[in-house]
Amino acid sequence: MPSEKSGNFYLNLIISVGLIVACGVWFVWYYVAPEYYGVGYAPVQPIPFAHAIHVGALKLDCRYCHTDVDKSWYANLPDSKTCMNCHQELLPETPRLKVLFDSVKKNEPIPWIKVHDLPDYVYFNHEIHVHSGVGCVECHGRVDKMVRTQQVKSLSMAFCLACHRNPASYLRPPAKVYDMTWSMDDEARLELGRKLQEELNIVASDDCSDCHR
Amino acid sequence: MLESQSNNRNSKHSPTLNRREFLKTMTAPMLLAGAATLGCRKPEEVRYPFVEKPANFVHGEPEYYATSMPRPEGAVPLLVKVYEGMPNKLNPNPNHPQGVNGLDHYTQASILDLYDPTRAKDYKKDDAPVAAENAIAYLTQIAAEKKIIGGKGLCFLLDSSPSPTRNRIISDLKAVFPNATWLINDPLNFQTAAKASKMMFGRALTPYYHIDKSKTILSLDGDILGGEPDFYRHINAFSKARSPDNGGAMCRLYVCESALSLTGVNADHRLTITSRDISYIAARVLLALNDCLKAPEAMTPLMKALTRYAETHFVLNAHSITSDADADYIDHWINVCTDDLISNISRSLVVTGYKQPVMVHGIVAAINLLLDNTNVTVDYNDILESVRSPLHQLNNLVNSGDVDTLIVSGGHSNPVFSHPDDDLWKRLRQANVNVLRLGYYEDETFDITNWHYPAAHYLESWGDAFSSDGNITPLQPMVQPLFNGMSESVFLSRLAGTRNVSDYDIVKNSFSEYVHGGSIESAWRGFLKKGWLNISHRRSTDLNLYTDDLIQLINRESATHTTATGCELVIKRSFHTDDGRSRNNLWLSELSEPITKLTWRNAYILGVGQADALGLKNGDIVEVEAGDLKVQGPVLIEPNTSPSTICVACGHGCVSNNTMIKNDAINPYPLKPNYEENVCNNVTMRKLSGRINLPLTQEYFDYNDNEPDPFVDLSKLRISAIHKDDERICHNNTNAESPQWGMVVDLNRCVGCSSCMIACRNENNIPIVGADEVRKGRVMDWMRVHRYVITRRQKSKANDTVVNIMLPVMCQHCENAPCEYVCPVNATVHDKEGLNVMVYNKCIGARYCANNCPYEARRFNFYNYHEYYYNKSLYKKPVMNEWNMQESKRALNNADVTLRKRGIMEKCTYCIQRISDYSIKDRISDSSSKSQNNKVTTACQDACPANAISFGNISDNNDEVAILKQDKRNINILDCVNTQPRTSYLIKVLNHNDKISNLSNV
Repeated sequence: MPSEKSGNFYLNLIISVGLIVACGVWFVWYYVAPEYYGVGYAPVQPIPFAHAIHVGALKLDCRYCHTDVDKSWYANLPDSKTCMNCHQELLPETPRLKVLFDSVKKNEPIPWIKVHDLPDYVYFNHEIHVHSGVGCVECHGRVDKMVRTQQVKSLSMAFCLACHRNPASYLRPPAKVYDMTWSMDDEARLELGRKLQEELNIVASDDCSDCHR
Repeated sequence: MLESQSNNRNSKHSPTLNRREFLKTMTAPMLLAGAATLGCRKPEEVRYPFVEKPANFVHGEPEYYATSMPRPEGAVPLLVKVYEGMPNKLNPNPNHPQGVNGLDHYTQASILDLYDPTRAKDYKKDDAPVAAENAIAYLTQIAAEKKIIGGKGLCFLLDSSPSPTRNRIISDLKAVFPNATWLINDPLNFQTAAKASKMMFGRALTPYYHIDKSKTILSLDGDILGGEPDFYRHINAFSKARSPDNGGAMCRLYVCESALSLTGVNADHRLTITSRDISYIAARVLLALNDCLKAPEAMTPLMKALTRYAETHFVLNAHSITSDADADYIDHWINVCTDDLISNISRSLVVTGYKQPVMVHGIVAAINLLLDNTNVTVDYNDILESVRSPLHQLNNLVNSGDVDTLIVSGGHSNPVFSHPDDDLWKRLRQANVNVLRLGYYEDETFDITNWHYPAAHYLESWGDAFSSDGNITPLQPMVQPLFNGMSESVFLSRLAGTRNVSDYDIVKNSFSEYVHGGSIESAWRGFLKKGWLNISHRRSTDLNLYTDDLIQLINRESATHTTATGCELVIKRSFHTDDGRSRNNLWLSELSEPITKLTWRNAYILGVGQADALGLKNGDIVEVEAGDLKVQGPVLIEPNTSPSTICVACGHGCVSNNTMIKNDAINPYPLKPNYEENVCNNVTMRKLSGRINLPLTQEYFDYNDNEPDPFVDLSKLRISAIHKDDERICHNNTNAESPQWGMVVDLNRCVGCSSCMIACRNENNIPIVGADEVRKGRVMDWMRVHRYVITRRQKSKANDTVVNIMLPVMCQHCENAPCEYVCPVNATVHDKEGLNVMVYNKCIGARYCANNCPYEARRFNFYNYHEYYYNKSLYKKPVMNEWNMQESKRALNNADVTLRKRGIMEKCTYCIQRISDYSIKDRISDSSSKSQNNKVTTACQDACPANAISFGNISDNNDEVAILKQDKRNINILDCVNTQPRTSYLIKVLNHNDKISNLSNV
């Protein structure tokens, strides 16, 4: 009897410990993985639009399509007519653009899938960041190299705070905000950033009320 | 202990749950929970851009358009915030010459009606939906049929409207249908003043008061600050006239009334007297004036008639002039008041209201004429409306069989409810009268309707309207009709035989009449952009007094006058539903009535004496018998009510499709003695068993005795500082780099209208909780207007000072905030601009902060008020009420403010979204283009018609708020707890007349 009982006991112990360890592993795997923050999220869009062609190869300015990025908190998606400015002439037959042509013909919007999606209790404002010399690249990565648009930064609160607590190393001259390729070595950039912060009077505070309301 | 445990374990009903059992049982849920979290990645969100974006449209930025809300007395000019194509909030139009920078609560809340899911949505024939084309074709058919016989048998029943376009269509219709009859539905008798002026001046005119020009105001049962037409404009003028700073020119308000109203609360001297005795007071005032001033010869017969009337009334009612005060006191009061009126001749004003009969209105017109007030403090404006036959004449028409088609137009008018003459409507049905109705709801009138046309909201249709000052304002649609509604101008034009006409063309056509010279198109565009057009004034200055009719009326009264016994029942306009038209507006339903703090329903309001006699307490059910009708309902005790008056608000107790509105409120319309009277005599009341718990938001009205007085007499104000400042240490940074926000509320300006509460709900997505939750004290308002009665004992009881204070309370943004110390997760903290911020995503719902807040500024989400999708999934609870989750209502949510979830604390943020928006725009705009006027305003400040709320940067010495904070009237509430609030109050200034020493009636 006692030996049987102790056998049971050890079996239970092993199972319990095993379960706890498995849970721990799963927890770390799940919550620490970059996917949890959406890094690498690249949904299939209704039109296989490639920033790599439009921005990388054709050198379109971000604001050609995202017209409101410097006027509002929201960086809008382009209306179908904006696409048609060129595609009236370019590739008018291609089946890949069928959704676009249908949209114009039927007067129905294109259902784009949002890639960079912050929680609803976060109020991020594009306008102020763009005007303060924070480049698009800082949050969106090298969009000019993306065939399918994807999220490359975690966009977690820690990510935001890294810059808000030390803005100098993330700033660039306002003229270069939309420049995907602008770069500078770290030390020089920090110095430039400090100068810009003073010149532009940039206060990147870490008050809760800056983003949460 | 052990014994009881073992007993428990062995007892039959004990749960035999030990640790092992618990784990076993929990395995399944835990596994499920684990599986569920695996699916908890971010949801996919879709964005729909335009196919073709309108020029100059910026996503995420609100647009503002000028329009106006048509109310029967005149349009309220508005500037509507439209966000992503949906109207989101109503603001006053600051450019309108009327100059009222605020709105009343009815207007402020009217945007909710637009999104009301219980609106009438279908064209219907005999309860069955029909295609819109067929229903509209039927209008054309009726028009063609009736045109041949000149409209014989056709009867139009309209709602009062200030629209010149509608008036034009009516004249068109009158030309087409000369034999048609025209009636108007005016359930609260707001047209009594017009009837009186027709009698006195031979023309139907409406009085237009200039309260800001008046130094002495006497209100004879006229609730000019609460229930009378145009009251929001009066509040504005009154707050200007009450300014203690302009060299002692502060006005003094005397009020005689039966039940406490907002006007009574703000009075310097108030006489509680039954509504039926007001005519006696009016007669006495005119007679007293006649003694002192030389009345024109023409008035002599009137004075004779009045003398007789006053005597008869006094003799008959000597015992029953039912007031808290005795006859001597009333005499004294009238004399002092009359002296004051005379000493401010041509700068005084006497007003009365819809509860009073034509006779009192006539006497008041004569008083104002005698005091030279006419054309100075009271103007008479022409009435646009050409239809003035009252609704009850329908009776004769039905009896004589002269009506076969009844057109009920106006959207919000609901004659079956407001004129509950069951017999009339039954006979109407029996006579097979064809009823066509343009209606906003499928309500009581819907039951007698054959053809129902859903009405469009005023934010969905083109139109025009006169504001009460005589300017014309446009109505522009902010959105396409959400539920396929039809505007009144199209409805009536179709009946006039016009085909395929849009309301845009109709309105533009009538507008062209007002353009003299120049291009109509540019004038029209300017009109829409500016939101008003100045046209020739409708003021009538050449007034000739005819007293014959009035004398006849007075003589008849004197002859037939009998002793009034028993109680009177006074039916007043509802703070919640107006006359019933805002019945489904839940923002209004849950708004606490400023005097009684009652929400969601009405009650019989009684004085203490009457309640004591019957042994009644708040909520006890009584049966009120008037004529042969008995209506049951709960009572609510309000000490300032006359001992013989029962006061009840109309517009409640109606059928509603909304599940949150219970049908159990009192409907007093059947108790009205006749269509044209609001006061019912010889009413008896009987106590029944039973009691209900009234949904009140504030129960105790006494003010903390340890607090400094929040009021001061005008005479005292001039002498010295009122409260001396203690030296206290303020530990917070007053860092000049960032603005330091602060607020000042001027209690002397605030009349307590509660419009700010609606604006706050609209701006900050504050949910409705329902009557049951209100009873539990869970109302979610971030700001509320408290009412306090402050009694300061003097040496003798007769000299006690009783003052009513309306105190708007919101989060005070304390620098020493008690809530911050106790939060276990730092979810409420200070930011660099001095705001006490609430971080919803950090909050765990411990509720320590709310317990530690001395101002009760914090509100807790006991339910998921906003999460509409819960009800669509398996997880159905805990959702509080379906209304908050309606899809259509969600379009009204302010996108700049988080929707709070269950288990989260929330409170006033000083409209942080506006501050944030301001500081971003301020940073981006270069200094050259920075406008000086650009400043942050809070939602409550925008809504306040009295301009009582100021908000700004207290570290900037030139800022309005910083200057006000230096005022000697500035106090903090609950200063004794040393919270160092950022919100402070300017105390109320009273302008008592020393000759009336006894203030206990205030």
